[in-house]
Amino acid sequence: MRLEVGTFQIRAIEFGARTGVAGGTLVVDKDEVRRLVLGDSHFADVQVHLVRPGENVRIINAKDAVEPRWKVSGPGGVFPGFVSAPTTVGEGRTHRLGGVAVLEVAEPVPGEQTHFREQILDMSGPGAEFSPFAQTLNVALEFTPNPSLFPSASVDAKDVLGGTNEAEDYNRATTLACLKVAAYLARATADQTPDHVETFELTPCAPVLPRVACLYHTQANYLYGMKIALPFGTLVHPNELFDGALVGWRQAYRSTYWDQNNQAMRELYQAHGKSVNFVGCVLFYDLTPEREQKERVSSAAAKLARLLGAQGALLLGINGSNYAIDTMLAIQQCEKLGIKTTLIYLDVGYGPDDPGFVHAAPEADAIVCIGSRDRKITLPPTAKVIGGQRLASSAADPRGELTVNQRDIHTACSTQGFTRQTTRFF
Amino acid sequence: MSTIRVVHYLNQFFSGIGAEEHAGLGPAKKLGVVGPGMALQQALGEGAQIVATVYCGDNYANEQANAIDAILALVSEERPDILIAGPAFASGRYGLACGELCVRAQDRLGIVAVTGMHPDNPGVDLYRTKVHIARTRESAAGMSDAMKVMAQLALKLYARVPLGTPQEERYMPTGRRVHFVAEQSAALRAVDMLVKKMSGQPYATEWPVPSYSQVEPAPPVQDLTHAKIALVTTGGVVPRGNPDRLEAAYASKWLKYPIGELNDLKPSDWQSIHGGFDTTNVNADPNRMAPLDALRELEREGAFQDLADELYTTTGNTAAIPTARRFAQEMLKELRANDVQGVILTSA
Amino acid sequence: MAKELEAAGMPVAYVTTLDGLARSVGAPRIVRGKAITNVAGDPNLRPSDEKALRKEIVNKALRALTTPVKESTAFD
Repeated sequence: MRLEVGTFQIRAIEFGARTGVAGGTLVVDKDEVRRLVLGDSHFADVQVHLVRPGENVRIINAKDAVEPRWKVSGPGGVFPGFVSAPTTVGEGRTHRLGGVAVLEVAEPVPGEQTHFREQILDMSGPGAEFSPFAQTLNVALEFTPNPSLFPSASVDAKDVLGGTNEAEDYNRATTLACLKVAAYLARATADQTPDHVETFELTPCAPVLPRVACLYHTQANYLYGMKIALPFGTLVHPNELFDGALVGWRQAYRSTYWDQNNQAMRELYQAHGKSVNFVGCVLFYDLTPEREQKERVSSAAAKLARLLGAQGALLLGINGSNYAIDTMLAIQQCEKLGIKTTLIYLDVGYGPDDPGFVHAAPEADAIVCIGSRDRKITLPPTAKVIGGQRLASSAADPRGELTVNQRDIHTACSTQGFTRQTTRFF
Repeated sequence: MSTIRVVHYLNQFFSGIGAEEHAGLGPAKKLGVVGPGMALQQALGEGAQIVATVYCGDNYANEQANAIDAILALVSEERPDILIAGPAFASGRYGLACGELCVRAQDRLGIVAVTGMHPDNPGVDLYRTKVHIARTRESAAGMSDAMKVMAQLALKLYARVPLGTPQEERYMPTGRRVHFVAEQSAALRAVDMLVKKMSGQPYATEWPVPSYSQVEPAPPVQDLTHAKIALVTTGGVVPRGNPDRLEAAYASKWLKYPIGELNDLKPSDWQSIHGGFDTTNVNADPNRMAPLDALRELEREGAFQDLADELYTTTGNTAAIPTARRFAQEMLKELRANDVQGVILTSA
Repeated sequence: MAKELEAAGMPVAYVTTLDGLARSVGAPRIVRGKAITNVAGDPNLRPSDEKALRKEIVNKALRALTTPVKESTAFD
């Protein structure tokens, strides 16, 4: 599978009569964007904000971030299962608008669970260093739900993590809206020549190079449009992620943008043919309160790595309650098979007595730490707030000074590999 | 540049007084080095001098009120720059005394204080976040090595030279976290680390997993049919309404509730307030977390003699180890007072 | 807590789903529970079957209490 990704590097965004890219500037036709979104009756309104790095703006209730991409040639289209048919992608040529993100901004709706929902994005000031989207030119879509969708203000969530069916359904709609807008923006470049083109192909390698798989512990994302657990894992080619096969925001702090640009896979691609033979990616995830489920999913993930012939596995882990055990079991299963593992992981320690692991296996002896979930960061007052009147998890005034945890900053705790934040333990 | 003044603390055994029979010895002091202090002086080199050795029996140090303060007073008399205590190796009472003494020396005298213990020493869990503890071998066979490590740590701390990681400098992790922005992305660092690991080259994890001390398991219950057992849970099971406000996480206490008259736990009367998992199933049937019904059945069948009259409960949601240990100590007093011989402990 | 009690001479049968965690922490006597949300039960079973499962788990716990162990041991 060979994918060419053509980049249009964007340095400025503005509203204008017609959506298009010229000379590094993205012009956004706001009315057209609104029309696209409001075609879905889930929404009573949507505001379109252009938000730029350095502005004195705080976006609250931020959720997913999506990079504008459009497939110009090759089978299928971007965001399969949402914007395009759900058939396999990852080949041909895809255009991207570099430096731009479409942001999903939405207050929690009734029935939506708000645990770890807080995601604040400061475009300037001390908070900006923690979120990559303080460096992108953002098209922030702020959604107002159709009130008739939520007949009663308080409902019992059936799914503790996902919330009610109505909330899940609405969240799918906001995800879809962002994907549609992201595709629409990039589509404007369909007939243009990109600034540069990068080719992604897992070419044959010298047999002496060690075979490496990426084992990606995802969480309740959409894969080719399906919200589905992966109790037996599944194999994907990294190019599928670059074309938007895996989308949606979840509490593992991941965003679609950083799967379209997954840095772990990009670094493995960089090393491919030089120090490794990158053989593919295993996605795995299950909701596993039961011991047997944990054993099953972790064993299956390791088995897929084995079937790929992997000698090494780079794990993107989830260090949260239930899932931490699955990540660690997967590591143990791999190491038992002789597959050497390295793990990208978040410290969730609460105080010095807490080593920061929900669960730790001695085999996890090669960990890259992406920082500490409960590190306290003080955000100064801001001139402007986008995204609602209230924070998701506190009564504090969103415009004022806020002391937050690192996890409350938008995607600051993602293990998708892009961050340079880290913690060392003394 | 004046010589750094060091005081060395030892217990009754290492100070040469005697073994267990002298563990009740009160605090005393000798000028200069005593016993293994020679090895410590050698490790310290010329820039530092052990001006005095303070010693005390382990039982006295642990059991007498004001013992640590009395020891500290003797230390303080020498106006030291540094206190080095032990090493205590795996000896629990010695370790606890060393740990507590070092903490107070830091706090009250404002001096550098360092000790040394084997990872299994109970003093490690209690003191590692407050005091630098050199990692030692289990017994005095590791003495000279322990002295080297303690001396290096102490001198570096005195000179305010930033310490390397616990792995590099061989001390127990203190839990102190330093946050910074690395040169390279996590992804690049991870790929580099993996390549090294696969090729057998040395690599260093950024974050070592904790190694937990091992304990000597208790002997089994000898005659279960005539034994009393107790039911303890960390699943946060409490009477409905949580009348004593047990916390859903970071529990500050444990509680006990009478179950002597009960054959099971009814959902109308009991619940779980544990914040770390979905308690729906347990709330529908609390026996799923605290299996009283099954225990009563087995009690009737004679599998064991008696079930303790109280259910002991707390929330094990990220309870720090020192807290959990304190709970266990407190519960133990009650369990022993009630002739309990074995515990069934349930958790998530 | 289990380790502290054991170290003091009180045998403890630790019933938990997270037996891997219990083992790496070093709890001496481990009995594997059914699930995090119902360690000694299973809402998917008929009540009589669930009670039998619970009794079996408790029996394992009793067996653990009467078995000498040298290191972290799981009782199935």
